[in-house]
Amino acid sequence: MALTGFVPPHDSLSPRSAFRRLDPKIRALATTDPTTLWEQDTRRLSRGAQAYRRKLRAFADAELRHRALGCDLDAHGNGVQEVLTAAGKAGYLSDFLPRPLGSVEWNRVLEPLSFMQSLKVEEFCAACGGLGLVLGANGLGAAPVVFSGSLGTIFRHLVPRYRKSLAGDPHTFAFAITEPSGGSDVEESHGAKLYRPMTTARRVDGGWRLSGRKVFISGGDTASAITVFAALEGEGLESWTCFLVEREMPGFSVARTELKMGQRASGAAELVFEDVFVADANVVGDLRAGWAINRLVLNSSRVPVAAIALGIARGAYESATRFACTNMLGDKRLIDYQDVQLAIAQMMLDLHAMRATVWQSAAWNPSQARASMAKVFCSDTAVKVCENAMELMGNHGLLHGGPEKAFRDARLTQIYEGTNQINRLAVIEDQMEELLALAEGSL
Amino acid sequence: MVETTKASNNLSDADRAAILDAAGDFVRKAVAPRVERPEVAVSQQDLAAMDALARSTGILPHPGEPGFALWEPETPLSLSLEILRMTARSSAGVAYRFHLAGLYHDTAVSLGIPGTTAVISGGGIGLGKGALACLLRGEAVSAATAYDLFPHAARPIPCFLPYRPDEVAFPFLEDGRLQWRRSSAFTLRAEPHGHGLVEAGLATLTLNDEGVVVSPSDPEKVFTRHLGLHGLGALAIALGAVEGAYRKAIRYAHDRKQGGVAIAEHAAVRLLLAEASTAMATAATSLRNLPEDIATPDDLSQVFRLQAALHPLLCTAANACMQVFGGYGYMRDYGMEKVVRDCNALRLVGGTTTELKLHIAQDEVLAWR
Repeated sequence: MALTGFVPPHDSLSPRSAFRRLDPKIRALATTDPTTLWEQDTRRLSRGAQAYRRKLRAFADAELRHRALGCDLDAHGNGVQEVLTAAGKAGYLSDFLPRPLGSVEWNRVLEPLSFMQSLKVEEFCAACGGLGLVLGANGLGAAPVVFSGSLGTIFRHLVPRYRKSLAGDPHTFAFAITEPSGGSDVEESHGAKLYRPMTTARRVDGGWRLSGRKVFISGGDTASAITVFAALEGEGLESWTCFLVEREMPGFSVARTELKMGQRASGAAELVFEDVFVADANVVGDLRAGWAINRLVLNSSRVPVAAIALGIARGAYESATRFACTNMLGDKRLIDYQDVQLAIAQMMLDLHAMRATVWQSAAWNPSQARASMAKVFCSDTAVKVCENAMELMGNHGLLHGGPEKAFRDARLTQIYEGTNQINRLAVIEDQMEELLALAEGSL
Repeated sequence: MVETTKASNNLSDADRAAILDAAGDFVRKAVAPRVERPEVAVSQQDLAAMDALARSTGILPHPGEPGFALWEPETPLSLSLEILRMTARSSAGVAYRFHLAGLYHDTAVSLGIPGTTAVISGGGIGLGKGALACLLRGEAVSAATAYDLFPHAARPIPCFLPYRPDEVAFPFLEDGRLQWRRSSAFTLRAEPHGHGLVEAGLATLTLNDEGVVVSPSDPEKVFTRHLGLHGLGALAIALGAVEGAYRKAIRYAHDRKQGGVAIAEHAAVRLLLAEASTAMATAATSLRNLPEDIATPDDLSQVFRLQAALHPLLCTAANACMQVFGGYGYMRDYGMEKVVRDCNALRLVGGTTTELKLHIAQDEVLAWR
């Protein structure tokens, strides 16, 4: 059996059988492994990460895939809460800390956080971009707590919520920086210098009073705790401080959730703070350390965003490839036509390049340039893959779900965590010294 | 309905201007108010009201009353394209709905079929990897390929139906020659959550019989004209949709500030605007200088070349306009994401870019022989 245009694997001219005739000492250099690319990639990981990746895929198949279309049509009441509960019990909402405080197995505790998060969101987003974001946004919201560097803050705010999530009562975090008049300004330094923050904190006895508004906050509609960045009264964005706002605090409300193009399972919420009292114990990190924490969080999260794009694109590829293998044109399957083979190969190599970029960029401390480059490359490539997947399915590509949903989901990755335009400038900002040296002739 | 004084070939500039004025007025008063909330699906009542008004304005044809409606034989091709482009600046989905209503009527009249007919031109699996080019040039193709190239009972077909038809007309191959059939035995499943152009009525159609033969005098020519006009209309609609999005994007770029200045001051945004502007100019230029009819395989290949070149360009332009809006562009109430979805759909209907290229290449190979 072979696809049209190829010799069967057992044919003497097939590389698979030809390599078997090599000298045994040399044969080790020739790969004849017929397993899937996913399996081959998985086997390159550490044993702990291998087991983790397999578990993630099984969870996505069991809990996310069948809910994807329902959540896309109606995020509320279509299984998001059930997914959160299942993910909490499985440890996917508590994976910044090792056992027994969190859920990270000790055999992968030395793996970079950004890498583990990337593995997670790729698998989840291959099943559903929206549900992948529901589970990924929790990590984004919790990151400032970890990056505060304060064990007290971690034990006070992270550990109790992790325990509840593990016990089947999901308690999630959300990350709130964007304001109605400031999207890019709160993600790049030059704009920040000139920006007048709308969310401010006023000093009162025992704490702070927060007033203002945040928009497009992923998971803000379901989070039990929100890491909110606010300027201190009378000061600019350089005074930004991170405050942990709890859902039940008086004065906090969710004004609305947006009607989005895609990733609809995750609510993009508008949050309102009306004189919300936040105790000193809920200040995350030092006063005026918010800008630094924000930028560190973005550097850490942009690689997982690249992995979100990768996962969504993989979902589109899988749908289109299944379509090509199961539909006929005349007396041949679509996959037997050379143009279809070329299209599928292009998607495979795009995915391969994206995964190589993500895995290469995910480190304990991804630099701003590396994180932004991964985010831009993968999100742009993901949209291209989704377009190609729709193209491959023709009119069938217009029907709800599959590549059309993937396109809508992927399109957001070019916008959030800084538009791709802002991220390109972030690369330049990070490499400024080298560029200045070139400009001055000293390099 | 606008009163005109001359036949199409001699349609005076004044008559043409009057028709375009009436169409512009119709779009402003009948379409724009009904589509002003892009996050809300246009109701069936509003769609029906727009259809009725389009018919009374003379944009859509009256059965039995020839005029200058969309795609009627006397209507200059450029006039139909301009009306569709104008409508698409408000709503690509509504424009595509009118496009199909006019086109189905034109094809049904050519086939001699009265009543409410829809035309299903393909089997839902593309243009047969060049097989269609062979058929239109009188070359043989395998029976199996020809069978799947056209609608048949074994395969549900995603298609757009701007109204519920009494019957459908579709091409098929008989004795090696293209023919047409009609059938009133079919089932429909509405697809209200399709990717784009939902106002045009996305549905999955399954034929329940093989239909009966209809015999127009020149079946290939009817098919060629149908496919060619469909492609040109889709292009004009995509261009209009991007023009509408561009107007919003450039206004937003002047109003929205980042880094202390309007975002229109930033090269990053200017490059996005220029990308859209360049695509629009390229498409607009290409859509001038068209033949007065699409009647031959050469005409059709030329239309397919334009589609293959311009649809990806216009999709990129739509994405650029959406990107100017940052996070707001992703929100359905701003309407930019809808233009992207509609342009994506226009790129796929009537032949994907790859399918069009394979057809063009096959036609070139045949001509070279």
